[in-house]
Amino acid sequence: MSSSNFIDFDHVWLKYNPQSDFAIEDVSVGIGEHEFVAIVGPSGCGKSTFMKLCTGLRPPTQGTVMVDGKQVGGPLKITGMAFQAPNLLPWRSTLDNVLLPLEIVEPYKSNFRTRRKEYVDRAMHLIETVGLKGWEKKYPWELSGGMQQRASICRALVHEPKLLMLDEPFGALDAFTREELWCVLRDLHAANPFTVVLVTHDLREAAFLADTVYVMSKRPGRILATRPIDLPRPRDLDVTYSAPFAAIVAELREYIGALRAH
Amino acid sequence: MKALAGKYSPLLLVIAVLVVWEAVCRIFHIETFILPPPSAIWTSLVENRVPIAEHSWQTFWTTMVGFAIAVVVGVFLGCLLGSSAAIYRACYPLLVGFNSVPKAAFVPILVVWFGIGTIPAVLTALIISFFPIVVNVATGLATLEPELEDVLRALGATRLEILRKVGFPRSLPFFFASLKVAITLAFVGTVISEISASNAGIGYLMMHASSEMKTPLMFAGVLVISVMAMAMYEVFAFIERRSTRWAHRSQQAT
Repeated sequence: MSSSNFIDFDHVWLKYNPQSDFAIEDVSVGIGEHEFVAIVGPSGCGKSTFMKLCTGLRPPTQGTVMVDGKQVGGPLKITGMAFQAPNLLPWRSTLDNVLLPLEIVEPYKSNFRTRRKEYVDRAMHLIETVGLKGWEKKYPWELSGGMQQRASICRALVHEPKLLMLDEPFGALDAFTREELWCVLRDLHAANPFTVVLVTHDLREAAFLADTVYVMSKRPGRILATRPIDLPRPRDLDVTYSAPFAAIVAELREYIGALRAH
Repeated sequence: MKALAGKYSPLLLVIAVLVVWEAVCRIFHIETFILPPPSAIWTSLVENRVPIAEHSWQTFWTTMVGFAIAVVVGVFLGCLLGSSAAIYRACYPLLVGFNSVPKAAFVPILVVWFGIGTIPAVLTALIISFFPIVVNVATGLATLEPELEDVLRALGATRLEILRKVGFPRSLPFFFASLKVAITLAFVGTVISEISASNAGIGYLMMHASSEMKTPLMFAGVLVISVMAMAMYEVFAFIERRSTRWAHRSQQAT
């Protein structure tokens, strides 16, 4: 592992409590700055555990996790997260939901009142980018599932995190909305690079978005394969119908298939 | 016409009940001291309006003081229980045990400690009404979605910030729902205490009327107390609807 990596897992093991088995076993991964990484694997393979370790929500039982040159000791303050459920606050409008991180993260928190206008502009810019313009005053329950997820991604990005953690963010959406949001995420990442860890079980999603795909085994989770995706960027949705893309997906599918056969 | 009938159906039902009641009393010549007709209750209410008003005021402010302390204690305990699973596990059986004791049983003890009068009534209102507030506030705080908590913790939010930005707003509907229950219970507590250990308040008035067989006056007392409790219930229902509109969206969804 080179020390220039943004995220470094060095032989990381984790169990949630002393009696249980390891949720993650001997994981060593190096993720470069601004790299887009996808983690795929069968359900219950410890993908979400991997995210908790990255963000410092959980300390490893053994091994070390380094992020941005520092050993992770507690929750990092440079992360944005989005999950399968949008988790918006129902008493806040879309705009206020997107603004939430700025009320919590320094340096925004301390001057939130005085520079509110500027932050609203920034949030509105994001909201416009993901195609939610005109919906910012609406409340979450007035939005469709896809729109809520767009807002959730805005909330994860508004404080310009260096690290974006996505836990199956498009899992609950219909196929068309999902592909549309892939492109939104692709463009956001291209416009203002940040490091992304995307946990998913959609192999096409992983292959389309990521620079590197990691395949994890069933519990206890281990990294079985590392597959760099060398498709040129910017990638268009058409690429998903090309032969090289199909070959990558088939290859990933084989790893998962081999896992399920056991 | 149908819509109008639907709107006024509760009022029509009340009127119907009163008419039947009056009719039954008159037709069967029931003695007033056994079951007074509504007209006799009304007459008694008007005749005794000054003492009734005085005693009602005593009951009202006693209840409100007890209720106010119950809100403070209830919110405090609710926050304590809701923010830590360990405290919740430790305190919950004790609270349930305390709540299952009939509160009337506390009145004689309170009288020994504080004498006859307002203080036992305030305390009875307090101990009878704080439990639903504790449980609801604790539930509202404890059922915070774990993922939402992760989102905030990953931003570096402190426990207090998570409480302020998410916990409190999220438990507001639970809190107001419990206030509606608690305010009616608080009136029950006050009256229980006044009946056995007081020389003022509606409870005392009814005790006094009972000893003189003034049944219409007793019914007038029941009427006044229920009107007060209903009015306060409506006040809190109104505040609830205004302040937590987001939680009642299903009723106004288009």
